[in-house]
Amino acid sequence: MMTKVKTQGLVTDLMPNIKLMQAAGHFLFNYHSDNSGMSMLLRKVYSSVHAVLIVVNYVCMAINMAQYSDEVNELTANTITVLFFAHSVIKLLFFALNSKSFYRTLAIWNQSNSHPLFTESDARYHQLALTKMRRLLYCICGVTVLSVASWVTLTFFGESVRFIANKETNETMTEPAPRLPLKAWYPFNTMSGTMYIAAFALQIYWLLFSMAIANLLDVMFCSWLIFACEQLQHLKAIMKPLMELSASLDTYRPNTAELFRASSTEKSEKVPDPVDLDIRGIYSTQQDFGITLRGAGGKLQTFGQPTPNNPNGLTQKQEMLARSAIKYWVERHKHVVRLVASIGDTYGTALLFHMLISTITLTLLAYQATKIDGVNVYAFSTLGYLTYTLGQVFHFCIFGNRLIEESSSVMEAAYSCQWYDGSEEAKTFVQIVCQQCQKAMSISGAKFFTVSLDLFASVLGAVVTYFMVLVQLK
Amino acid sequence: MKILTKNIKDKLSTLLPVLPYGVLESWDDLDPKLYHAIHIYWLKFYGMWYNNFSPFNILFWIQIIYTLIILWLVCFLPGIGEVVYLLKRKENIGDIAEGLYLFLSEMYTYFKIAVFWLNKDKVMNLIKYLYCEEFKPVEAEHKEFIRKSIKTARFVMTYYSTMCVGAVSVGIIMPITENFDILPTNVEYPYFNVYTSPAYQILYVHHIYYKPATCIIDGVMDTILAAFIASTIGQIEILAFNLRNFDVVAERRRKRAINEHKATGALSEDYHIRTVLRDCIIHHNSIIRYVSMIENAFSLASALQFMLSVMVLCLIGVQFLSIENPSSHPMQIMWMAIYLTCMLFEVFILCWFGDELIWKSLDLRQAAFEGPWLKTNAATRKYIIIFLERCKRPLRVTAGKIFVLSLDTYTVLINWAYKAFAVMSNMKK
Repeated sequence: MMTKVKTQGLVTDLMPNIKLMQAAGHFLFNYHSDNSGMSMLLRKVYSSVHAVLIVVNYVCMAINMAQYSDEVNELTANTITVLFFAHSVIKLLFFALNSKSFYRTLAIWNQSNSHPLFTESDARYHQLALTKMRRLLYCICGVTVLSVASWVTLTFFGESVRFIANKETNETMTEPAPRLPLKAWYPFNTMSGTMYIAAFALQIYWLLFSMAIANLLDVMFCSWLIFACEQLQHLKAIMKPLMELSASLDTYRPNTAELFRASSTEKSEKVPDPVDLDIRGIYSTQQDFGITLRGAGGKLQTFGQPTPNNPNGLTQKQEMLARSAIKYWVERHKHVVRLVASIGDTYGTALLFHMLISTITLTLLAYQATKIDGVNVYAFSTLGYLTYTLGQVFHFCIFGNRLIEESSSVMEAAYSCQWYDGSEEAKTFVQIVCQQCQKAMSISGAKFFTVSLDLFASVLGAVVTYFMVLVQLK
Repeated sequence: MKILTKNIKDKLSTLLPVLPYGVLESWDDLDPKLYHAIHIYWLKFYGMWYNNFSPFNILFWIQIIYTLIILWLVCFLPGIGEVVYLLKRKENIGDIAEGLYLFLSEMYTYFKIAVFWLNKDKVMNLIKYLYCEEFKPVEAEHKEFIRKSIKTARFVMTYYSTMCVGAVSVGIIMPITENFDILPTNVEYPYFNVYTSPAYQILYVHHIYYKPATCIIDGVMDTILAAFIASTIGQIEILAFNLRNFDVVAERRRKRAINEHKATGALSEDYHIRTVLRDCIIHHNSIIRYVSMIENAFSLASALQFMLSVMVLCLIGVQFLSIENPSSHPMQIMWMAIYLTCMLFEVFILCWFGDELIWKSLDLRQAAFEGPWLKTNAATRKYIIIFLERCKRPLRVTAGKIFVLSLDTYTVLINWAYKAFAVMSNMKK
């Protein structure tokens, strides 16, 4: 029986994704419980076998493309397929070469700070992030399986032919080809018999695994972005209580006791990691607050005269709490910025390659789309490729856009809480937050472009323009 | 308002219940109702306003029946007729494209009404929000700004609807010039021939009723968003005035407090300046919240409006080019030209008001800087610093989060409409 792996931070949240990636053959060798030499060797062999199979089949497809490159339609169709699966090969290689960077990003959230008054808000948004990440994973897995199934189903419709150009008359003839999901060159004859069934099985395996490899890596990227966005939501949510806490330091307010009650309306999902020693040293249990609060129905028990510096009669511990709240906010924000920077460094180049290949693929698909002449296999396959490619681009554009919006709305949240009634310290804090959050946090594709819905709109606009121009040239 | 002198107003006072609020009444109390009075009046006239009675009241059912009758007359009957007409010509895609523009723009009006009914809570909240404490004018200058914005809102509605009704009347008199060969809108019905004698006259009268009705409802739906934005702009101008003159405003407040024997009258000038700035920030926050409420209520309708306008504009262009013998059909040419102008104007109104909002909110930064902050102390200046930080980002209304209502978007849309028109006209050849 495998002992449970001790994981923390992002790795715990993304464990299903990581396990799926390991199963699909990515070179992901960390995060196992059993790290003995034998199992490591087995895992490396497993990944290598997958890698070899994927690359070999890909090369066979490329050979097929080179073989039948005389006829334009055949060449275009084969090029689109080859480019489509280039994503998988590139992502497999990218992960293998960059795994250190991925491990570093996954480890960034291992130690996070905490503040006793904000723990349940933290836990709530963390749980929200977890739910969204799981939902995304299931959704993309479903889409992958559905795509493979519909691809295999579509193979059985229509004529199984390829186009050949007759060199003498310059006409296009058709020649029978094996009825396989992908056109590839195999050293054995795959027209019929056991070899045909073997090739078919190999291709189904290949389709499933290569799509899974590409999609799972994208899901990991988007899950990181979801996590960052939910952390920003948490920071926005605690802005108002933070202002009130800070105001209680130097302005008289009734019912200050409410502020210091760590509300237990929601159950804390997990115990926060013990890191921030400043706070932990002083507030060992939440009982500390309970004692001071059991006064007359929530009113603060004052044990001395309220001094001008302390109009609400806060105890020293409460004063320390209030002062450390701003520190918690700033440290957490810096942590999120570090996470986003690390995500950008890790995945930026992969995004750049993805966009380059997608642009070429979409241009060719626009050309193919002008040749649609009815509801047939050709139309379905072209529209299927188009939807899938645009869907992949949309997938990471929408999460990148959400990150940009969340990070720039922090400034609006800071402004809309009642800072004008707060202390001078709170006002300075709001001023610095407003200045810092003017520039939104964004992910860039190796500094060439920013991942946002504008990118998706420009890609879509380019495809429509190419289509319109090519339709006129027909 | 200047046209109607007091004498005429007295004589017309019997018509008070049937005219929109604010035509004969005075505007002295600057009731926020004035912004939307004309819009709500026309919606009520055609039974398209919200049904606020309880289901146990007989008036609820009377209103529902009235709404259904009007919907049947102006939406379903012409809609069915146009669909049948288009289906009878479905072999020729060019003919369909020509008839489609009218069908699309008319049916889209009722889609806008449906979205409007769907967003009933949001729109009612918006109207109620205008009565909030922060939006009430205090100084005389404030009242001037509000008066100006009310005038803009009502002016846009009145003149845009008049223009559209005028355009449609050209369409209505078209059959007269064509010797009663055609109807104002090409419709056909399955069970009888529309060009025979009694049916033709009845349908002509029906068209004379329903075309201006659709126009006015469409005009209301377009300009109601503009009216909300106009009210926001009025509030922003009040805020800008307060910021530019916060010392004067503080002084007036202090004098008012002394006159009313309030405790705050005894406090220093500094306290009053701080209070004025604090109220400015609260006012600013209310305006920001109001703009996001506007966006929530009208985002979907505006986004679809933009996408549809692009389609309709390019179809009108194609139709324009396909009129053979232009010199012998001057009315047709004029009708096309006027319709094109109306469509361009429809989108322009939304984009212009959105753009105006962006510029006025950027003006707030200038206003804060122009105020007499040099005379104040550091703590007071902190308010202005944080305010300036917030004003770096302008207030904007987006349509479906994709399009921002601004003149840049307008240019992009016209561009796309022209591209689509060029492709389609090439394909027709």
